[in-house]
Amino acid sequence: MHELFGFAVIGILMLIVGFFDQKMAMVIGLSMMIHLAQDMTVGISMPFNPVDKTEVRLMRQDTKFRVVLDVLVIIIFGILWIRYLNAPVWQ
Amino acid sequence: MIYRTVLSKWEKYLIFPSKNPSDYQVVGILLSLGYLFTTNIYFQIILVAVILILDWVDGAVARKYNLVGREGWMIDVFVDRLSEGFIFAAHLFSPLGVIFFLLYIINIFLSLYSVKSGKHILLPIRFIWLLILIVKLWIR
Repeated sequence: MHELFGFAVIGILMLIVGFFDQKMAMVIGLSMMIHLAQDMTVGISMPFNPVDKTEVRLMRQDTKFRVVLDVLVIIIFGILWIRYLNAPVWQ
Repeated sequence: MIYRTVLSKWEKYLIFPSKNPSDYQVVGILLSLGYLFTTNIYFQIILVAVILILDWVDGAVARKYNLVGREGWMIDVFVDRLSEGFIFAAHLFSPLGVIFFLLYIINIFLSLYSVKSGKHILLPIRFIWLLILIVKLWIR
């Protein structure tokens, strides 16, 4: 479900998990949203699948650029997990 | 709608640093990601305002340099939903945040309907959120 429809599913999942553990909902949901956003912006995607199967490409398909984005995503995941474990990230 | 009509008269006189609308969209997504980690209301207002301006700028650049097309419109719609997702996820567990997060999910389905029907039916929830942030700051 690497499309806009996947975002709706994640949103609903976040709301459900949030009833039991709000921080866990944020960590799971945001990690999935960032992964989907990366997949949709860096790759060639069909954002409106299954309604429309037009392929769109937002950014250039450059290996070095994609590696930089992957590293950035890993750092954001790290910050999210540290936030979940209550460590002082911003100090 | 009204502000877009007013701004569209001025866009042909503006000089843009990049002729590629995607550049502004990528900056918009990165700023939306930054919003997740922002707790200060002043920064939140500035970020949402800049994101909305960039949303207008990418359309203005596309119109100015004749890059308007269905694919561009689809990219614009899905980039807007990404941006909304990050902004409203930041407020997911406040009562007002839950309402806006639900409106964001509705907007995703409206986007799918818009693409299928060719009618542009979407809720301007980021603009409304900006007004709410300004009111919050005003009454504080």
